[in-house]
Amino acid sequence: MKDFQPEEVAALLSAAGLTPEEWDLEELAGVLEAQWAQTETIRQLLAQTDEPILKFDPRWV
Amino acid sequence: MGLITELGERLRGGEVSAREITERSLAAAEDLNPQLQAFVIIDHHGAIQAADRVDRQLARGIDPGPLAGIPVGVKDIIDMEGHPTRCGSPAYRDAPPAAGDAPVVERLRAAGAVIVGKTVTHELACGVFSPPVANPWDTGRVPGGSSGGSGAAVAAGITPVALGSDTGGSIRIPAALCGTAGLKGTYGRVPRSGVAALSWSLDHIGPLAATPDDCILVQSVISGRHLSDHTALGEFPPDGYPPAGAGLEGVRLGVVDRYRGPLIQPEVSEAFEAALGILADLGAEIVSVEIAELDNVMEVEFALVAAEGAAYHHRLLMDESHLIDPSIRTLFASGLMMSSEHYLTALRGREMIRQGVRNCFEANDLTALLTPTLPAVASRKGQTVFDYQGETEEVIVAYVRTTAPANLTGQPALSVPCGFDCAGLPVGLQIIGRPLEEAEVARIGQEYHDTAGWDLNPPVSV
Repeated sequence: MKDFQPEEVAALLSAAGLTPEEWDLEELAGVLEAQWAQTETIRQLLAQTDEPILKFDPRWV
Repeated sequence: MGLITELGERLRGGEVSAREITERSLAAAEDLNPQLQAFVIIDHHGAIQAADRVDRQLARGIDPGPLAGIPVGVKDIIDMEGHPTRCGSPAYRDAPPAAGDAPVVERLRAAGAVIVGKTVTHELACGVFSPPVANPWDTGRVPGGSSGGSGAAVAAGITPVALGSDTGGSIRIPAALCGTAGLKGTYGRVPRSGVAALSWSLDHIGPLAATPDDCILVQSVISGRHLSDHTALGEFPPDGYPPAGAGLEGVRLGVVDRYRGPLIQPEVSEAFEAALGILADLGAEIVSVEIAELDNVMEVEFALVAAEGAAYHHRLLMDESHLIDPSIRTLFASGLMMSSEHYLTALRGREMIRQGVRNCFEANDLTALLTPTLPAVASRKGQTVFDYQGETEEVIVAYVRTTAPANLTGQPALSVPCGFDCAGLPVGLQIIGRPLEEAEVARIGQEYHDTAGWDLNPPVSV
């Protein structure tokens, strides 16, 4: 579980081109923590297999 | 027979004119909109013009098309020439009139349909409540969303059909909660140019209508390749399935065990189990199945919507994010801050789910999967949580977890009414078919619909 501190969220917002003062940093921290945990669950499942890979379709359809 | 076919026969038989049908629809929209708030625009002038065109064609012996004189509502994320596309959001309050029709609207008009207005969407098509729309079965309850105005308009009998969009269930959710049929076709069946996106890889356009037959008719009109949308698939193939009334012998239907409980309202469960009995009586073979990969549907769905929604609405987030509903802007901001590795992991997770569902179809030789469309009936306005005899679940999660799988896999999925709870609120049955087999999904739904014979006239209706 990764913890997001308000300063870290502010830095991420700035990096994304948004103004940290306009956002509820604690609420966003909660959302990012949940998102991180959810992605970690998928990562663990994917680590159990080489598949699925992502494909690129070169056909002109 | 679907309502569209019935109206078409009356029209072609001279029993009623397109103008009369349209005037009734417009009057109903005006009469019921104060209660239901289903329409954001009612286009009297354009509708009457279109209806008169249909009547002139009929008088000259020209067939105006399969939707001749049929009133249609169009969700307000879809461009309609001469009218703003406001997407239910203050951020688009000053949107200029659309310069042209979206291809789906062009195709409806070319088939003789009469567009009577634009229906209310949940803001940016990103939510399941669609305020201020009221549910025609109980105006203190939500119609579902995000195509809530379309659901209310069809359920109340204002229009026989309305277009919706579906990224995580937004056609099937209002269909289930309002007691209509609603079809999300295979991903790419319907061109999406001229339609505001939420999540490019998950968005679908499709119909809500009185019956599955009506849905497949409209779907066949709006489907097919279009130069403006490279994701759109080819023409809708003629179906080779038996006609309605042929029964369901040889059809194998998989019931996904996880959606039977415990997170389900008891009366929804009873209605669903009773529907299984009817399908079995029609000759279908019902088998229980489980798909472990569905454990991760919500994680993948929300990650994709957050990232793709943030990309689509990037300018809005940068310049006017204060105009977006706080919960939606937070979701999009999280997508903007998401790493590319998060997004790619979600895409791989999606492929894992797709393979899991495909394997289940192949291993069990299934024609379709069945689930309750939703585990609960329409929530009260302002309600945020369902309580299933001690276990709780957020309304937004309850309304998406059974429908989102078909967005992630891209399979066609239909919701058809399958009964009521004791308060008289409708319950939906979801039928998820193999890719490109919309017609078979609709046939199963229509067989059920014809046999069950539910009375689907809500208290607030024409």
